[in-house]
Amino acid sequence: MSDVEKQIAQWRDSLACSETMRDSDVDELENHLREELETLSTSGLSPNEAFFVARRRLGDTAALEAEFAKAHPHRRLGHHLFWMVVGVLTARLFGTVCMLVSNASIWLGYILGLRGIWLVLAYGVAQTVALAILVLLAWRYYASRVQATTVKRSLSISTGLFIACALAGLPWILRLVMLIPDWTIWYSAMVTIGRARHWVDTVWSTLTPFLLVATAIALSLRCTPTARSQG
Amino acid sequence: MAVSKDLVAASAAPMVLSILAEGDNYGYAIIKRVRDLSGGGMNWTDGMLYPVLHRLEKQGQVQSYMQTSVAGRKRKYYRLKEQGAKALTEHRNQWMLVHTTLQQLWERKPCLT
Repeated sequence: MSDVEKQIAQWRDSLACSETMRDSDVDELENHLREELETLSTSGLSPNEAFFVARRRLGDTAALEAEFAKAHPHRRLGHHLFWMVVGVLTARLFGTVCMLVSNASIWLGYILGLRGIWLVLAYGVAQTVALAILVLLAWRYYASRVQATTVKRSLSISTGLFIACALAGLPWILRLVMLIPDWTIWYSAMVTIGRARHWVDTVWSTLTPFLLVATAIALSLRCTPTARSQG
Repeated sequence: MAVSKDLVAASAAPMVLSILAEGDNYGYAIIKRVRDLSGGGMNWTDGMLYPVLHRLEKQGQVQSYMQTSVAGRKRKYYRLKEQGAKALTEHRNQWMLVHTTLQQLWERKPCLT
């Protein structure tokens, strides 16, 4: 790949992670850049000089993003919502996998002769290890596919994850209370807590979509185009 | 002489519509035409044209379609729609009014008696 092609690819990447520009918009701008490069090259400029001039004429990335945001005001909100939903679904998926792994560990522990608190410990350890592995794999996958400049996308994903964790948090605190070993004394309390947990679960899962929308709107209003380096 | 940013922004839509009234065209050629006609005085930042075109398309004044050039390059062309032609007439009336008003003011001779 020639120097200019590399520079074009870098410039394209800096636009591709924009919240307000779609791939078709970036294609259109790239076409413009290439036409300008051809014209400038015939006037005697070197390919690198031509790229520098053409990119400057096309405009600063942040300013372009701001102009596209004015033309398509709903894209930013949609972008945040999409990636927050990705965050919530990821949290859900992780939760399900962790639950399966920890349930399997209980069965395995029981077969191996573990009883009482040791079974609970095996459950906890299996869940923690499974979650750590999943987070590590997901992070490696994410880091290998997106640029470091995709800060806002990461922000939306982590907000989604945070909301999902916060929503899942309260029922889990109640679940932990239920793990108190001397359960015979706490039996009646456990029944009450179990019912409360069910209601908390129901209320939280009903509120989740509304909280997601509200947070996405708040993020869209707060986020302004960032000045990025021009590669 | 460079035209101020505000004036460039205000004239962008009528300029684009007028060029499209001559025939279907694509972004780079539109910018080039503006640059040639104004002798380089209309200093557009090239990338700013596209949000203008997209806004006009959303308003139903222009319509886009893809076409491959002889050199094999895929270009997004824009075509003026009926609503765009109406908007252009409106723009034209407004700009002519501004133009004739300013012309009369600037051509008035000072009264010395």
